[in-house]
Amino acid sequence: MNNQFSFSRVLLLLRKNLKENGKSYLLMFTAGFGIILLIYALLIVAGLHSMFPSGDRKMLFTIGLFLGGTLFSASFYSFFKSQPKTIQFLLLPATTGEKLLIGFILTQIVYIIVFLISFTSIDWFMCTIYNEFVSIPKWIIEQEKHYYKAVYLFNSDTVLIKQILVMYFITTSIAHLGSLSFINNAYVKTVILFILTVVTLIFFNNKILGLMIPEPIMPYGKYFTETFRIGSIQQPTGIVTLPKLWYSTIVWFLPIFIYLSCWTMSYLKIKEKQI
Amino acid sequence: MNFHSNKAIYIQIADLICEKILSKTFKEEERIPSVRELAIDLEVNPNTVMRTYEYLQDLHIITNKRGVGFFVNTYSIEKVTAYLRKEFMEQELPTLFKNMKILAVNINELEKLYHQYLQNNIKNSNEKK
Amino acid sequence: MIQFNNVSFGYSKQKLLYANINLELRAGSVYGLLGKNGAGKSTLLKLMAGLVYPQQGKLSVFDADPTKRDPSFMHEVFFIPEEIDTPSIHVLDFGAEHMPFYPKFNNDQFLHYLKEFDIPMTNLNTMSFGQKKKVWIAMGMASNASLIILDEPTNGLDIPSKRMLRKLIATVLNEDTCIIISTHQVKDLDSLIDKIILVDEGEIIVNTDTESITEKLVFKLSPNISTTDQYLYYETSLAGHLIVKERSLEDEATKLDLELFFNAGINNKNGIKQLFN
Repeated sequence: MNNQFSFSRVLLLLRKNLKENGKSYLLMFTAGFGIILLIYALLIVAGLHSMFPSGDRKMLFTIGLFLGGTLFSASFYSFFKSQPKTIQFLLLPATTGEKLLIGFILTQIVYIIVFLISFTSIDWFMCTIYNEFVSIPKWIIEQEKHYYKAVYLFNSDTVLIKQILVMYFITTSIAHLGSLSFINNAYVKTVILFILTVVTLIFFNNKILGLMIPEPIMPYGKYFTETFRIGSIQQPTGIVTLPKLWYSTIVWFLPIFIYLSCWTMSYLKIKEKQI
Repeated sequence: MNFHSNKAIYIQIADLICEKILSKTFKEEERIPSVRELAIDLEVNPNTVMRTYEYLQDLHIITNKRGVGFFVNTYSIEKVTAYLRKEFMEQELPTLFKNMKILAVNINELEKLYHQYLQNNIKNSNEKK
Repeated sequence: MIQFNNVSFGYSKQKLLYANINLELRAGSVYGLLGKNGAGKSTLLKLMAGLVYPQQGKLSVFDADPTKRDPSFMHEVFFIPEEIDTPSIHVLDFGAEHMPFYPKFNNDQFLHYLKEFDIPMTNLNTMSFGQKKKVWIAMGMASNASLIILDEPTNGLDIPSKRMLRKLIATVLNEDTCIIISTHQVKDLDSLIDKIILVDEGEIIVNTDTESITEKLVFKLSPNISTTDQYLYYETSLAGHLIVKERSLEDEATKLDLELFFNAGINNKNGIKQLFN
């Protein structure tokens, strides 16, 4: 057996993980699926005589994706509560990278695929039911009838799927790191720490920018955005815009940086884990 | 196996093997259990059994035939008897004498009991026949 | 096989549990690791397995650094902790999921040991603590790892299982393996242990084989204590005095009384250390 990365060992680890946790994964899936199904059913019952609300469905999609994903990631290493299981995990003859990859595959790939497939199928199924059974009130004029047709969520162009996915990957990798860092109540602790960090960042960003840019130039103490105004609010003398390249680089750089740091830190956490 | 006596365990195992040779459970020129077999059977460390076998080899009671195993030597009964006799004389007799002295047991008394024992023994074996 | 060179370790930097210890363990033996509660026996075992990292010094196990956690190192080590926790899967699946990670794992042996231990072929979650522990022990022994570490293996085992465990250890020990057992119940395993490591208050008091202990010391029950003899240690009860003293030429070798030796080592550290180091 070599000490380099071995793909067959990853498959073995994955099989072991699924075998040992398959039941609880299935239970979690059924619960999530059931909740979404239930809410959809309520929406249909409430909406048979009116429009099928797409906003509520988008919310459900986002909340389901985030809440489910972060809960799953934050509980991924909950077995660290048990010392024998931790010993077994740490001493299992596989490299740290291979062990980390299992968490990566399950939280970053498998979860999202399973969620997208099940949500889309529920959505598709429910839209079909709605379209089949909707009774349009008589007073609705012909031109407005198309509002009474449910559109599949993924056909509508207002879902910010790209942004949501980026946010999903970032929050779940933070949750995954939290699961490695906190043994008890990993989820709650990570959320609190995350909120504290964001609030502090925003606060200091504001403060520091306020220090760098004098009061008359930026009267309300803005924090990072793409532009800020020069001059008083009544009579601006100009607007400073960040160079386009900067802005687009930061938009890419920041998420990737956070993402990679989370996974590097997770790797080190497992590597340095002592019990 | 319970090692009750205060002798070192490897000696107790040696005594056990000697008893087996005297009772003909292990016959002359026959193979005795391997180190591991005996260790598993007696629940002791194989190294201890190895030490017993080395000890018995030094006493010329058993021989190691390379690759085959350990065998009881010819004329080993005489050697075993001599060994056990020496052990008895050097270790068990002094304890007996000590107790005799404390309890004021007369040697003649002992002699009488010993003869009685021998007679009973002969009677018993005759009855069996 | 295992070499500690000036290793220091503590769970916090200020309070070291072990300071500059030196220790060598060789293959082909069953080591008994003895020490009081909280003396750091488990920690020493964890150091060897790479579950905790030394703060200072060098520790090598089969010429590898355990803290690297290389698979080639870990498949030669099997650690059976005192407490046992298993996933809720069938015992055979449990074995099957571990087997591919240990190149020398022998499934026939695993099944045989399970049978000898009287393990039912069911899901692990229906098993008692002792049964789960025996499954781990069977798996550890079947892994044919070179270093098998057992932390309090007889805790939770019934009487026939303790007997089976002794037979198992005698079965798997060979010149390339090293079995390390930390235990409080010395009587359970004393016929198997042939090397003793005694730790107390962060130091290694003794690391020696049972043969040299019985060469250097006699253990016996004596009705009275003479004032002229130098005893290393003795315990008094109505039955008499259990004594440990240096063996002189006329003394017969006696059986090693591990409990008595342990007490002697704890209570007369210097006396024992002088004799064995």
